Amino acid sequence: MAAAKTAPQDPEAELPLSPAVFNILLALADGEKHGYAIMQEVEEATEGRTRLGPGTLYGSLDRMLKAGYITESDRRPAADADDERRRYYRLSSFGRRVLQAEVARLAQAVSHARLKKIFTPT
Amino acid sequence: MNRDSQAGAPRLPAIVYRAVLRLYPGAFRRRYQDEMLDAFLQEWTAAREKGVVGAAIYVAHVGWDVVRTVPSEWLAAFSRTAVLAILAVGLGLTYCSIGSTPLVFKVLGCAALSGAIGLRAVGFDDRRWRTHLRMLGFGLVAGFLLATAVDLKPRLASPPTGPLVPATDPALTGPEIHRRMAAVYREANSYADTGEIQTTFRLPFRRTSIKTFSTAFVRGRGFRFEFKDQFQRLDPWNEYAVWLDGAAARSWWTIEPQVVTRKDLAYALAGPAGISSNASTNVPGLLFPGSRIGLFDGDARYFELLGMERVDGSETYKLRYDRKLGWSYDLWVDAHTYLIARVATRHVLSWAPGASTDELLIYHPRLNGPVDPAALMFQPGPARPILWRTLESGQMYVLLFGIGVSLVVTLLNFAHRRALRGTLRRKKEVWLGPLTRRFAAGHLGAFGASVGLWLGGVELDLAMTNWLLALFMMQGGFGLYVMHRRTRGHARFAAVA
Repeated sequence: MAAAKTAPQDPEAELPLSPAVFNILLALADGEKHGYAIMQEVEEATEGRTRLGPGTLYGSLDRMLKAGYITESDRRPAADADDERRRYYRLSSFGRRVLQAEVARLAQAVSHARLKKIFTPT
Repeated sequence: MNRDSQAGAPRLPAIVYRAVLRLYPGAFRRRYQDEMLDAFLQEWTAAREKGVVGAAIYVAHVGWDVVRTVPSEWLAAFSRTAVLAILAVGLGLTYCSIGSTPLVFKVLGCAALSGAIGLRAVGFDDRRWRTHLRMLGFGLVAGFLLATAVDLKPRLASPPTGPLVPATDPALTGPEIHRRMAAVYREANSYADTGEIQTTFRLPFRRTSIKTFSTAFVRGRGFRFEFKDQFQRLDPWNEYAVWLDGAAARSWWTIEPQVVTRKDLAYALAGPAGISSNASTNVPGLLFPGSRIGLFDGDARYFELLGMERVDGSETYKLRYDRKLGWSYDLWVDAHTYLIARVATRHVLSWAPGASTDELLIYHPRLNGPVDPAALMFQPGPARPILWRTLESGQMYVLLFGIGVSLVVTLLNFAHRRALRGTLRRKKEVWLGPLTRRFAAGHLGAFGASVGLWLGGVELDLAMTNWLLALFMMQGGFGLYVMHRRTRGHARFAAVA
């Protein structure tokens, strides 16, 4: 597993997140997943608007590991259920706080947009 | 995917994508290539089910993904030490670009420095590349427009056209043509010319400077030779004039702005001989035969006829004046008027391999026409402002450089102060990233400007140094402004802005 940052950090200092990182964090919010599963979930969740290529996905995962947003799970799937070489990734507590901070930031922006009558939820 | 499914995967796409993965840095590839290949093949299989169009769209998607991510992975693979090494190399090369270095080193130096600063600036998932690219594009366009708008390109004389052919009259020889040429000048009642001196430095970078000269002569009534040069285009002209005031030979020079009476005309014309590439002595020496001015009034035996060439549409005899002393001159003499059309020489510089200067004198002569009496005298113009008169080029560059550095320091202090206020309020270090990004943006802009100038045809060299310094400052300032605007509403920089 790539070395994660050890010093405690302020999630606010990490904002804003790129769309790729935000969507990957969101995909991992409900449990650990391997890379291809993340790719599929992001595409489904965004109704095809965000489609991560392998380079973007694994480049982001690499940097997220180094930044301590995610960790690599020790779990290995059974050989008959999945490719045992697949790695599973899960959200770290810091990554979860970063995701929460980003969602709060976006919520604040949406709230502001509502006040300005720019955005009306359907 | 499992092993079995990978084994059953389409072979060709797997081979191609595995080959593409070799574009990524080794460490990244070793860690992720199996997973990336897995993801690719899964997606590829799904895309194939949508038909040829679906497969083509996916190939384009993956191609774009590779184009975007390979450079960023290589950038991310650099260690801080490597970044500092690149920065040092970039600084060194850029320092070299202040002097006389080949264009390729200037461009590489600027690119390395920009890249290193940009690399340092672009942190985790930074999305400001768009701004950097804008700066690059802005600089490129600005440089190109500057190059064309202010016309910094030297206008070079057209080279002789057509092949060098034997003279139409086989009886003609070099000494005979010289005899006829000398007679034309010796017997001229009046003569006037304007001309240019194009000096091309190859050190081995190439730079061409253009100076101008003019001659006015009426036998028995007066003579004036005037020579102008400027360090680079848009600089003020330096002027050197020599004229006959009755029997007295007088001279005046911008950098020594007083009328000086010289011992004789030969002595007065010898003054600017070097800087005018002998324009001050070539024709005057023929107009005043026996005055021991110039080279071409010398022994006709040293003139060799090389053939005939067309220069600016006229037939000319090409002669070579060579006294076997290690230097020679080529002369193009009009075949009808026997007036000098061009003179060329090359000086090989022993202190640098391959270095030389090519000097080309272009004459636009007029023989026995009316000459305005005012053209025979010289009225010194008003003295220049003291700054231009007292500062030599080197000092001027030091002054400009000092102004530039002061501006950078001021901007740094300004940015630092604002950032410090933000730090104190937010209790965290927020200034270094934005600051480096701003400089990266500015530097990329300057790099773009230098490339734009080059594309515009400007020979980037010593003479362009102050332009580039000014552009660096301008781009840096613009970068600060743009980044300030972009970060103003940003929560992270709210305290700073």
